[in-house]
Order: sequence, then C-alpha cells, then structure tokens
Amino acid sequence: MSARKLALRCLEDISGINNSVVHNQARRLSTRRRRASPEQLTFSRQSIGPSRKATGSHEWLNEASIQGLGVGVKIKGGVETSDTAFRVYVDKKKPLDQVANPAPASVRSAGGQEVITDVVEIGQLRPQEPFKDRLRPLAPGCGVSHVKVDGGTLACVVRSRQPGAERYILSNSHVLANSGLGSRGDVILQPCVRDGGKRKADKIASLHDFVAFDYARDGFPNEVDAALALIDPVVIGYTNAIRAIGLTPSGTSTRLRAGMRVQIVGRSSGHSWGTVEDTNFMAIVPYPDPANLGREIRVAFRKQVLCSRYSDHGDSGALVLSSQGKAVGLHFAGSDSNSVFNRIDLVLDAFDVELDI
Amino acid sequence: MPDRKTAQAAIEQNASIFRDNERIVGLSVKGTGDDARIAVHVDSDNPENDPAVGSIPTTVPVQRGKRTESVDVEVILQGSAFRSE
Repeated sequence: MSARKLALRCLEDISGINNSVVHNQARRLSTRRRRASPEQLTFSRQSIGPSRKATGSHEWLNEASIQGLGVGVKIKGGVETSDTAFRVYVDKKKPLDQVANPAPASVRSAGGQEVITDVVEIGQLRPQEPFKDRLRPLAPGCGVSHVKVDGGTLACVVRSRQPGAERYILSNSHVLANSGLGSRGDVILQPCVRDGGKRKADKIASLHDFVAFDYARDGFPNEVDAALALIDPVVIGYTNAIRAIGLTPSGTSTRLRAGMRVQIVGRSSGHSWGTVEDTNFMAIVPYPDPANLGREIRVAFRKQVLCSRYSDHGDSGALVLSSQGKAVGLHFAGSDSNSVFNRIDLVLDAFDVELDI
Repeated sequence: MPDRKTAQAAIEQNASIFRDNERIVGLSVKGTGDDARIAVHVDSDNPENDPAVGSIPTTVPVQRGKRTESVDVEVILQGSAFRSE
C-alpha cells in the first residue's frame, strides 16, 4: 500500500468513516493496552518534547486547537519533504508543554502500519455566516432589498455627478426595483426581506431609478442590471467602508483582463475572491416576465465580465473590486461554476453618478 | 482565419441563432490572433444527446466588408444556467 493510501486509511479510521474498523481497532487496542508498552500502542511518542502517554484512544482529538484532519506532504522547517503525513490542522501551533493532549508523532492504521503526523497551523475555522444582520450606519456588503424581493447586497453609496446633496444606494434592479416591476418611491429594506426586514422598522431608502431591461429577442441589448434608491440621510447614516474588510474603494477602474483577481463582500458569501475569465462575455439570464407574471423571460446582456465563481444567491448587487481596491463592477448573476458582473463604468454612466468617496 | 474582432462581429451578426436556442446561456470569444473562435456556453443535462445542443452550428458566417468569412464555434458545458443572485 502506498504511503498516501495508508495515510488516507488512517484518516478514515480515525475520522469514523470506517466505523467498524475504528470500533475493532479500539477493541484491539484496549486489549493491547494492558500488556504493551505505550510506544507499541496506536500512537508513538514524538522524539522531542515532554513524554506523552499513548492512550490507545483518540483523546487528543478533543484538543480545542484542532480544526481538522487530512493527508499531505510532511513540511519540515517550512520546506516540503518527500514523506506523506497524516495532517493535524490546528488554529495555532504551541509548544508541546502547553498542550494538554498533543497530537501523537505518528498514527497507525488498523493493520498496524505507521504514518508520521504533521501539525499544520491554519487559524480558526468558523462557519461562513452571511451578513444578515441589521447594520447602521449602512455599509457596502450588507443585505438589502425591495419590499417584494427576497434579498441582495448593497454595493455602495453614490452621488450625482451634478450638484446635489442626495445620496443613493446602488445595487441591482432585481434587488432594489423588483427586476423593473417596482415603482419610484417603493420601500427599500435593510436587513432584506429574507433576513426579516420589516416595512416600518427597517426602511432605509426609497426606489429612485432603475435601468429598464430590453426584452428584445434579438441581439444582446442590455448592459447593466442596476438601480438606485434614495437614502434619507436624516434618518439613516451610511459609510462606503466595505464591511468585513473596512476598505473604502479608492476609485473606479475599467482596466480588466483575463486572469486578474477580483473580490466582493456579499450578503451571503462575505468576503470572497474570483478570477476574471472573459472580459467581453455575453450572458443570457432569466428574469420575471413583466408580461406574464409568474413566468420567466431570457434577458440578454453584452459587455459582461465572466469570472470563476465567487458568489452565491443573495450576493447580487455586491460591488466588485480589484485586488488594489478599485471598484470594477456590480455583481449580478452566477451559475454553479461562474459569476458574472456588470462593468462599473457602464453602471455609473447609466445614472450619471459617481462613488461617494 | 478570423481574429477576435471578426469572431465578436460573428456573434453579433448571428445573434438570433444563438438567442433562439434555449440551451445557450452565454457567448464569448476564445483564442488569440488568427485562431479566434466563438465559445458557446450551454446548460444541458445530456449535451451529447440533446437536439438543442446538436443544432448549434459548428461554424457561422460573418460579413467583413465585401468578404464573407467563417468562424468556428466551440461548445462549452456551463454546468448550470446563469441566474440572477
């Protein structure tokens, strides 16, 4: 059996994928324990550090610092070796004398073959909680929606290029304008409807404008899925510092190329990265059909940007940023494998607005 | 052989062919230099036996001035349709 297969077998045994083996192994071990030295039990001692009792059980798995188990090459002094190791992922590596139940230096398969372990620091794993909370002041990345829409993401706050004190939140038409079925003045909520937003308590803005879809069955006539909602600054405070990363966009950029990394902070995915695959993509996306309520119609877009998947349902409207923090797009659609965004210059030009920075 | 601009023009000139096919969820231009071609992104559970996918032409014509050129069409399985998120 190859070293990798052996390590994977150990992983299955210890993680309980192969329960019968673990059970049998535990039984055999408990028998052995009475007559064998600790070194002969499941886990051998590491050559350094204080003595660690081999227990024959997996008590060390209860150590709070352990984040996961896996198989990979052994890394020694920051350099990959040629050895395959049973990996123990921890939030932070500590000196052995500060760990109550340190991971063993090696583990054995049910067949008794030994595999070295490698403790790898990866930080603390946390469930990726979507941003579904009520957020004041408003900030890019929070959940937002029209009263008749499930939810989406607030891109950023914008202002007219003409003189004026009004400030608007930018997102998709299908988030703020019910895909063009909404009317000027409609209530916009934060948190969004899906996250429990209520008309009276959570109104943050009113629908101001949206780009109507062209449903023509020929060509690719649409460029953006975008809408603006007017914020009442007397009632609602706002910032353009994007939540989770704290970054305020440093401007906009139209420089897009295949291979460049882009990032969003979305209501569902939080902070997420993708890679541009095509800068002149034509997308066909289904939307509610205004002429046949309850049915969908295919809406065709040109000049879109296709990326590797960085998003999930509820991220629509998220501002897409370059790795340097410049706004490059407005996220609006995705498939199981890809995400698509509108170019930021087309979005801002459609309303004659600019980022409020 | 067509360049990327020619392939882009071919998409626009043949838009109705692509728009009418319900399996097509996106279009882009692939390749560089004289090797540009149209990439048709399709969503189909069974692309090899799907008549709609089968009906996608392998080449499309494009008018460049007085000349008519031909641009290759490559089918890419998208895996699922795009949806507004």
